[in-house]
Amino acid sequence: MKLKLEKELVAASSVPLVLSILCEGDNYGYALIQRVKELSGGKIEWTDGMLYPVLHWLEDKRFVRSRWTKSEAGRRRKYYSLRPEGRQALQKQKDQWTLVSSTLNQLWRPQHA
Amino acid sequence: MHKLDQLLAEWRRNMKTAPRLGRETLDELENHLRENVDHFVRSGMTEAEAFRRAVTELGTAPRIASEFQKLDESTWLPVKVIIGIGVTEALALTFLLIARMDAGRLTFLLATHVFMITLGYTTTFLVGALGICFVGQRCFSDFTPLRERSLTRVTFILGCVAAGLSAVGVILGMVWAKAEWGRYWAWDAKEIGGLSVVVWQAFFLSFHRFAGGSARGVFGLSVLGNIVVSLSWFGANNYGTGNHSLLLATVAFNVVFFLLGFAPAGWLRPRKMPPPQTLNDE
Repeated sequence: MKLKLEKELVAASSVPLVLSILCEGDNYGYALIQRVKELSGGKIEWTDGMLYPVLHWLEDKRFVRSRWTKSEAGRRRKYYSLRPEGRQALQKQKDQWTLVSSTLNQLWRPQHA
Repeated sequence: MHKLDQLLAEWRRNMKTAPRLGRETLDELENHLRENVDHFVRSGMTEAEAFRRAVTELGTAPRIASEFQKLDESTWLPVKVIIGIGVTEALALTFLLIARMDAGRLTFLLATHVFMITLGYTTTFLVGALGICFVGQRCFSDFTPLRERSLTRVTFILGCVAAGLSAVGVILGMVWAKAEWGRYWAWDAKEIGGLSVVVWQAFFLSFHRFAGGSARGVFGLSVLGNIVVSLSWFGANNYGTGNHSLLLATVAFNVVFFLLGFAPAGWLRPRKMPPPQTLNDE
């Protein structure tokens, strides 16, 4: 059975996912979606258009900055890069998600009598 | 024209009908579509099939626009303050004019004219005050495209309100002048002032609508609007008195902010000292 994430979880995880991918290096919208698909084995599926409001929100919060560049094929692409404020925000997100994950892991660990 | 370009042009026309999807956002979304179409074509689809699939995956215009709308919910503090001042002023003016009408010092027609003109002029001032706040903040940090779009939309709405109120106020003034003095228009200082403000507001809105409406240009013009209203309102009231020092100070203040608008964003931002490259100079 294909695992489908609840939409609330998809929405909540979008910011840490985008920030984490941008931590690997500058990137643009389409490639960000492909990277999430690749990392999740295609199990995390975003509606493509929903990514852009998230990117603009991150830019508004000054977590990322953007610039238009031309690809080798001559296509204009809007690249996003992480600002120092974005790295701090990512660290906070990491701490929070790690806490949730470790708590759940302890609860769901097989019990040994 | 290439088939894909035709499909994209049609898609773009459809997307443009949704609010909050500016040119740059549409460029970005179009770029995404092109990337996805390429991907599907490489996997064996025809261009038309690939386009349809890519559009479905991107989402509909209303849905994307509604997501962008959520971003606008955080309002810039000066906008909140200025809307608060405008509403308070409208209420105070209403009570004041009703009290004067009750005392028999104003007719309904004259009170309505004064209400419209005062609110129209002060709304123009409030847009100008937003311009000053914009230029001031921009000296320290740049605005994001999202925030700029949201702010220019606010100035357009307030500009429409100001223009409507001023125009109706001038027309009511003409009707009142005909009833009281037997003529609609006599080119006196106040009438010329009122006309100047309406012409200025029409120019401001036209610039907004047809000249690209960049935030920097719009807010720079809104600062100049302060000068037009100051000259039209206080200049007309003080005409012939020779007492123009406050008026000149107001003009000078606004000219300074208008010129500051040409400075690069963040030019007053405190510069951080770069970290030392090495702890050991040897």
